[in-house]
Amino acid sequence: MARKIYNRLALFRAEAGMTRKALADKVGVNPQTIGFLERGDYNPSLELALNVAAVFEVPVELMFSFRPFPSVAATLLGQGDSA
Amino acid sequence: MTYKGDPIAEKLDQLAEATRIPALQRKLQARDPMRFRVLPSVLLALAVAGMAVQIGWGGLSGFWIVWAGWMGSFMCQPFGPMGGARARKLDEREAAIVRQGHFTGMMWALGVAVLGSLVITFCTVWTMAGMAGLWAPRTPMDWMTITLFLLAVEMNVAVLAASAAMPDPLEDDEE
Repeated sequence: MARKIYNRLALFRAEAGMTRKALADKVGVNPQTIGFLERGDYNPSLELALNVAAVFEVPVELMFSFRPFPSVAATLLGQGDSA
Repeated sequence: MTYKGDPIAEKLDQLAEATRIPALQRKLQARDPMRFRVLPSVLLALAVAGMAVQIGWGGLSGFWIVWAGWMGSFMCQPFGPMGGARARKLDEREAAIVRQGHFTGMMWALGVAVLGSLVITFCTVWTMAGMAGLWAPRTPMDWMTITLFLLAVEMNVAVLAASAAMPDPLEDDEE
């Protein structure tokens, strides 16, 4: 059984105001695959993960992880504490 | 989208477009694949019933039932997860599902073929020994029925396996 891979795809996509279809066209997959990726139902290949990260111009480890990502609120609160 | 160039081909293309069939075909090909569970099970059951009828009655009786099961599988396949007649190329997830489906289907068909061969051998030996008149394929129609039966097993098990491997449909159909 493959390990679950968490991602921030929906967050990055919402921030960029990009539709699933637009992202799917950029990385060369079916929009359904982007939806399954966001929902965590599909673990991408290394090639797809790198392509997705390249679209948003971020390192792949910022987009995909074996550990769940903290929520935006938790991240922002953490920044507030350290500031 | 009609062809431009040769006037005869253009007219023929316009005629085909007027039937609305090419438009319907394009629409169906552009759709996301559907998960099939009940239909392949029914078609598989039909093929098994046809094989049983062929063994019981011979002639063409079972052949047509198995043929119907195989033809039904063949016609439904493009709309399911194994569909090959799509307008676009399969992506890595879809290609993996198709490979997994075919592998499972082929393994089942192989298993049925191996088991069937053993049963046929046993039945033939048993009949030759004069202990009982058990069925074994003799006529070309018997062999055709077995061929279509194995194809129907492969196709329907592949669709069932691929459907099981597909995640639940997305709730929001965002484009």
